[in-house]
Amino acid sequence: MLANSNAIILTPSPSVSDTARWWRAFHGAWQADWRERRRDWRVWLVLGLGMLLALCAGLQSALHLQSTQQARAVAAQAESERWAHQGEKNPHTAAHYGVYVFKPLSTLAALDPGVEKYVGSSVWLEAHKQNEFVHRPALDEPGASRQLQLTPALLLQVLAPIAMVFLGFGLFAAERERGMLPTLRVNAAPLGALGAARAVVLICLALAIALPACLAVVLVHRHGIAAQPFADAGARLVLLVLGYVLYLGTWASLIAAVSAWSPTSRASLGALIGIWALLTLVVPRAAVELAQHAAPLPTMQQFRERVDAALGSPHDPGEEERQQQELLRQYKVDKVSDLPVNWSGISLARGEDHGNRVFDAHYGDLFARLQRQSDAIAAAGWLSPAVAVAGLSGAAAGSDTASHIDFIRSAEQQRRLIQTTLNNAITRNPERNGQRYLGDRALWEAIPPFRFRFAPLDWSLLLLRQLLPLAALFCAALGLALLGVRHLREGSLR
Amino acid sequence: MRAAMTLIRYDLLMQLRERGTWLLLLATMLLAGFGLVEGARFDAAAGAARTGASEHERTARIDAEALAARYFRNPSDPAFAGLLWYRTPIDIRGYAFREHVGYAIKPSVPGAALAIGQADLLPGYVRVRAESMESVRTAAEIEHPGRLAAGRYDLMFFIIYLWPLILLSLCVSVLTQERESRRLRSLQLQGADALHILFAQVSGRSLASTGVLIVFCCTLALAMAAVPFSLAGWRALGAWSGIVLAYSAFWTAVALAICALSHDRMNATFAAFGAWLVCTIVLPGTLDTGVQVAAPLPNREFYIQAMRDAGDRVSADKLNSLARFYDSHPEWRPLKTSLDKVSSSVTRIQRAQELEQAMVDVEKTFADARGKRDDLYQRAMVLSPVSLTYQALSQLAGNDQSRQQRFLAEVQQHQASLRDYFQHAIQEAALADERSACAKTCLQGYGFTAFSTVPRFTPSPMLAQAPQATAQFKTMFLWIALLAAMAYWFVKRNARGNAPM
Repeated sequence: MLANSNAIILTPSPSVSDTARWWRAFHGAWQADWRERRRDWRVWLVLGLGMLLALCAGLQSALHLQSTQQARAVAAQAESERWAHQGEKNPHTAAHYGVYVFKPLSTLAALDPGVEKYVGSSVWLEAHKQNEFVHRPALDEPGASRQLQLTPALLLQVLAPIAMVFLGFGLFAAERERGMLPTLRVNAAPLGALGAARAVVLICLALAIALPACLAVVLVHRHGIAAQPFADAGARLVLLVLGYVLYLGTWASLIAAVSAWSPTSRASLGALIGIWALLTLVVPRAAVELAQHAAPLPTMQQFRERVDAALGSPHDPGEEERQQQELLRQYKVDKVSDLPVNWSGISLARGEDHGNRVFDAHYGDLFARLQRQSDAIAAAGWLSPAVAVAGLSGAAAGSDTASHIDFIRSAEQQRRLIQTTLNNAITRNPERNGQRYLGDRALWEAIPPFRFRFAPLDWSLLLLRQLLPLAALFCAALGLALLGVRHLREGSLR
Repeated sequence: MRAAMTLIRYDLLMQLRERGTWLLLLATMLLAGFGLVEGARFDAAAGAARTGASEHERTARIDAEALAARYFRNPSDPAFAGLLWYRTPIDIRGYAFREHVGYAIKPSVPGAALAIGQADLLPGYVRVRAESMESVRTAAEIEHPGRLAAGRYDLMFFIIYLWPLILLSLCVSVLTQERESRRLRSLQLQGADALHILFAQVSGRSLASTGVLIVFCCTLALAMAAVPFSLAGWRALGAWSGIVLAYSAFWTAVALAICALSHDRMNATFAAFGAWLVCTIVLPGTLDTGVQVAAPLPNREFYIQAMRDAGDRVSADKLNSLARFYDSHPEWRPLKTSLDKVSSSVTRIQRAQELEQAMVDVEKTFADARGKRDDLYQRAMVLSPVSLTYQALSQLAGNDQSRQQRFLAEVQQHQASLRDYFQHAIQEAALADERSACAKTCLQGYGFTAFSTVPRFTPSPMLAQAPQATAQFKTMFLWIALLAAMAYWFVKRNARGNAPM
């Protein structure tokens, strides 16, 4: 796409300051570029195709989000009622009956579904076990569909930059190719203003491409039924918008730089396509592969075997005896059956404590390894802005690995709360005349329903892992673009 | 023919003099090599996980046999004072529901390292429990979710997404450069035909570069033992080479059409990359969206609710269903114990079967919806050569979903036999226990020593073979023919219309 440069060739006027002159040039270049692009059928082709894809991606993502939110809300409500209406039974039987909890989805997850399709959406909370999350949506999809899936995030992270490349590879290279560079130099045209105006036009075009997807998501949000699981939804939205503007700004600067340094438009296009493929396709995948070396994960069989072995290992038999004797002394009785508390409740609680320690140790280690891998992936953000913005976007949308682990931990806390409440009820009610205590609705409803909210964003971590690399790459690209402009102004005309 | 060969030879020699060609070939080798190394590493890790599972099963059985020998020699040994019947393999109830370790392992095929495909999502081994298929259905290998979402970097990723870019970069200058430099007219005056130049040079460049890629990858795969040096290994490499050749031929045909249509290299580059974008991202994405809209699946949350409802119904009807069970199996009916006093560990498998029965309709709803979606996707896939190639390469590596479905079907059969085995053993033991009423686990009651007779999973020979590419892959040749015909038509039209050459 070759921009018209006639409108920005200005005659220098001694009465106008440099800044005012720069802004006038910027404004002129902006208007000229818009006018030129409106007349170019290729711009309409790229825009039309991009917006159509965005609409498809946005609608699909938004509709999927809406149906999933609805299904989870209905299921959560049904589970809550099932729990409350399970009838009179021994609390430990109720603990084994358990309850399912479902992961809430935010509207922002429609923009960036992140890992949502690849992690289970629900978990069964029952006595003695920290169960795995089940029913990963990706397993229900046809195998070959698992390629570069069309989502608003893919559009913004991968397709918008390539649309910008298509629209902007001739940003400066075209001037050189058409022999306009000497004219621009003779007229002392502010090439920086020219480049900045065209880069901003590029960003606007890229944002226009993504607009239908964002609108579809906003529309679903307005008609949404589920409350947002964030306390800082506004900050997340601002972060998301800023992150993507910075990302697209990086690409605009990079395109300007490559175009300024390239001898021909074709060379510029070739180089930009190569850079795009490297930064958006190769580096993100290579990074996740190489991150495995940062902290290798156990296989599921190894993990389960270790957890089972630790759970099955007998805890100190003397400890049980000591605890029993202490209770007998405390209540001044001789037999366990004479205790005013139920020994089986205490015993169950001790079993749960043992299990909790095992789960904390093993899952804690597993999550730490996952986090180390996430950190290693984030380090690749210093090489590729696509990696940095993907991390930022996932964190803001609550659809990244850390947010999922956050949910797993929260669900496990709810499981422990249920077990503690039920075991305490058993402890408070010893068997009388061989009759076991039966819990009722009052007890079941004493357990608060599970309502998960994502932890507020950790700004220091975000700054370190995503924002700094993104800002650094933006500055580097901007620096290259400025050097390119200087090269245009002072370097060889060829 | 001779003229065409001369054209090809001359063009290839010219290409080899260009630094860009060497850079592209170097990039090819680096990127493909890295993909192959990652694929081989994944396959080796998956193999180690399968071996680990198999070893776990073997050692668990040996340990159980040793424990049983020690225990039944002297059950009153103080070492066994704390033995819990539900947590020991020497009691059939503890063994069946907790201590039995049995894995179903999907055999690897020789070309597994050539494409990770769905292998990171679909487990290569599953623990099979006597009680239900739940452990199989929800089995998953531990993976970083970010890796699953981003997709793997393997040889298949290189072939599908990056190789076409390299191929197109090598080919887009054919004819367009001649048109741009206005050499085409002089070549035509010397007797060269534009059509011959186009087909000969594009085919020559494409075939030569694909040949280099195939030779490099096959040599590397054999050198690093990613593919076994055996007949099966060679066959896998042969099939892989065939798919890569067909896929390269498709992109060659795309390049033919673009070069025939474009007047200069600039436009050709633009069009080539646009075609890449449409073929690799837009078409598969649109296909996926269309299929999801046309054949939606019920939400899994609905499945969970249905399962919970079924569980409640089974619990509420516990005694009636148990009566029905013993009516159909009078040989196992308790001699003295009333049905409401039968231990839950004795009726556990029966309850699981009842639950399974109650879920039949729901399972069918999901299976039908999924079958409809898969069927629609299979039919629609002919519209996307990239999806066809993805599927063909995944199938070749044995890492596709249809093979997983076959594996799970075999596991289900095995699970049924395992369940029947344990049901029989537990019911017989319950009867024996009623008669002898041991205070502790004893051989006259629930004691168990016949570990070697417990069914073990053996995959069928079919599952161990590398699957064949589906019939849909043949439509790739239709695409190639269509694009080549388009190129032919564009060149002829240009010639007739005296378009600027």
